[in-house]
Amino acid sequence: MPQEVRVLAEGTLAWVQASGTGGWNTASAPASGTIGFVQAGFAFPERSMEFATVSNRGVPSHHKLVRINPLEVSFTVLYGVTADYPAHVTASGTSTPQVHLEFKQSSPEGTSIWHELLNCVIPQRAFTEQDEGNQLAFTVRAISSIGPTASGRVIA
Amino acid sequence: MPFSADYGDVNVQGSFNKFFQDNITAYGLPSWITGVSVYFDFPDQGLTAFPSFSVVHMNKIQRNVAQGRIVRGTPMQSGMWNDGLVDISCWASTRRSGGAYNNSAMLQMRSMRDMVMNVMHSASGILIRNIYADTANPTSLRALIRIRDIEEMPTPTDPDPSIRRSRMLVSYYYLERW
Repeated sequence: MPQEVRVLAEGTLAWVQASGTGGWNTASAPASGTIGFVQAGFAFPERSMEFATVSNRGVPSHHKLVRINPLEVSFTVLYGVTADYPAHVTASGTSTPQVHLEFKQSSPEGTSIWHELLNCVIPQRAFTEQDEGNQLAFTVRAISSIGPTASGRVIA
Repeated sequence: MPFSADYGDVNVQGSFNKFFQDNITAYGLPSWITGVSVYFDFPDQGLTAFPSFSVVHMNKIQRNVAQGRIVRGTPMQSGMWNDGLVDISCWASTRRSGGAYNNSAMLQMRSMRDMVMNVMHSASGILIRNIYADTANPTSLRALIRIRDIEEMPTPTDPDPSIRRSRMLVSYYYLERW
C-alpha cells in the first residue's frame, strides 16, 4: 500500500473556546468554528523541550530535562471571513482568553491525523494589505499539544 | 431541481459579458461612431457589423489558495482561485456597408479602445449574477470578479484588408466556490 504524504489541500483548522487551564476543558456548547482561508505556512511544534547534557569527568554522560516550553504557533488567513476567527474571550474557569485549536489532515486513502493545541492565547493578530487578498497573521501560544492521534473532538 | 453552479462559467462569464454590454455605451459614443455591436461568440459567430466589439473568454487556471480548499469556515464552503483571461477586441472597417470609404476607421478603433479601458477601470469588482436562476434579470450572488491586468496586444494583419483591430487581453480572478 502506498504511503501518501499529506498536503495543504487536505488540512482543516478549527477552534473551540477553552474553559479551564491544563487540558481539553470546555464549557457546555462552547463557541467554536472552522477557520477559512488558512494560507500555506501554518506551523506549530509538536513539542518543545530543553535538555541539559551532563558530563561525568568531561565526558557526556546523560541528559536532564530542564524545561518544557510552550508551543509557538502561527498561521495566516485571508482577511474577510470574520466569523471564522477564534473568539478570543475569557471563558469561565480561565484567567485569560483562551482557545483550543484542532488541526486535521484528512486522508481519503487511510486514517486521518489530528493534532490538538491546548489552552492557546493569541498574543498578536497582524494585518497586511495584499494585492490578492489582505492577510491576517495569528501568533498563538499553546500550553501543550496532543497528537498525532487518529481521532479529534471538533472536526469529525 | 435543475442543475446550477453558482460560481461556474455560465454565471461568471455571463456576468462579465452582461457588465460589459450594460456599460460599454453607458457613457455615450463619440460623434464619429453612430452605433456599435458587441459579439460574445466570435469566431463561432462571425462579425457582420462594424464598428464592433468582440468579447471572448479564453483559458482559465484554477489554483488552491487555502488549507483544505476551505474558503469559508462556518458554514463550511470549499473553493479554488480562478485566474481567467478574456480577449476584448475592437473592430472597425475602412469600408462602409455601401462600399464607400470610412475615413474614421482608425479613429473609431482607438476611441473604442478608450471605451474599453473606461469600462474596465470603472469597477473594482464585477458582481457575479445567478444566470442559472434567471437569464433575463439575474440577481447578484454577492461575489466578485476582479480585474487584474489589461495588456494591449499586437494584432496580425486581417485576411480582409479593410479590417482594423485593436486587441486587449484582460486578466481577471474570482473564487469558484462549491
